[in-house]
Amino acid sequence: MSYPQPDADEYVLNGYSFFRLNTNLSSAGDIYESAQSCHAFAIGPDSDIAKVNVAYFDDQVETFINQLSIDPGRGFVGFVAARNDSFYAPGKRPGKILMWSDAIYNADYLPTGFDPLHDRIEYIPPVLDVIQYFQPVESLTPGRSDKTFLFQKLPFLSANFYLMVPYYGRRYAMVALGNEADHDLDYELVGINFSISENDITNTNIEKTLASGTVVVSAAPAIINITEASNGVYDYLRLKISGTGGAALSGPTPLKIVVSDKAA
Amino acid sequence: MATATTLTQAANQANNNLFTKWLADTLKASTASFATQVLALFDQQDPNTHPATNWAVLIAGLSEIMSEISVPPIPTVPIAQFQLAVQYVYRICLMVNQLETQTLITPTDGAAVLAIYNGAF
Repeated sequence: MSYPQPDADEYVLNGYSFFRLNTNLSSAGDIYESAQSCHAFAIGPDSDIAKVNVAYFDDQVETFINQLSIDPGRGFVGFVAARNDSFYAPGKRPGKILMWSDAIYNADYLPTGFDPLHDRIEYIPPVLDVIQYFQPVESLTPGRSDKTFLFQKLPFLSANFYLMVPYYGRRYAMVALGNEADHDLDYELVGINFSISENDITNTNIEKTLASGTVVVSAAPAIINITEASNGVYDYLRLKISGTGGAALSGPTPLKIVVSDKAA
Repeated sequence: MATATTLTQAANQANNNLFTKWLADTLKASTASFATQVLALFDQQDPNTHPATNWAVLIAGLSEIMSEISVPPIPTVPIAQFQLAVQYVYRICLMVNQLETQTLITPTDGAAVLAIYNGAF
């Protein structure tokens, strides 16, 4: 969690018509607060997180805590007051607006069989992008922007290289992997849905292999298309690359991953 | 109850530990106790601790609305509330761990939250 967190008060003081919380998540425990009332909530265009929960003060609720959820297809239009002078019950803390990711993000995730001495794993942390509008809006633009992850040469200095890419709520992904290195490479694409598991290493997440194969040196790249209808939905995609037969790999391995909210 | 030695372990054990409480129909009391103690630990005036206390507020609120009508052998707390409690406890443990890592709270405070967790669950 970025700290200090972006302050909605500063946006108001500077005359902005909105507060944009646009930050990398560090864990599933990240939670943000706003002391500013607003007229609408929406998922921002650059969010990897697909669903955000918002808690706000409501006199009509026993605990004064009411809650709503927003996602790329469903924002919330309506005045929500930040009741900083009132207190949630029974916690007895000011009734600020609270926002957090509905999805789990496990920053400590390791693949089963991961060898810390010889393998390498790189995470792309998920972005939480939420917009709080201070002025009335007639409508909200649905959907998130497509995201492209582009690598010219993966830092392949290990037996197995893993790349973790956020995929929350996406309906389509394209993975294009080329091989201009010195050996053939094997790849495996796995979809992961995180769970709250007891052991970080022997994880009990829901994982499914979506594609696997070999890319021959200087031959045609592997093009993998993942769709919601055919493959399901996942929190993260995990791409594993290794030299065929355990060979040490050196050289360009261009990789392009595109994720989209639009169904293929 | 499995005793956790770190906050990360406490987070990952949340489902198993709260499951035991849920079956025994003591989840409401456990979550209320946990939230109350965490809120008492941190001063509202210290903004560094707000991420932890914000979760504790949500846990306290959830505990407040949990059912008290006992119909054994079925747990009285609906499974959706049990799962939500697991989520909240999982997240607060990770948040407190993050705050300690970023030196926004002291290791003593982090250890105190862990002790509260082990005592409650």
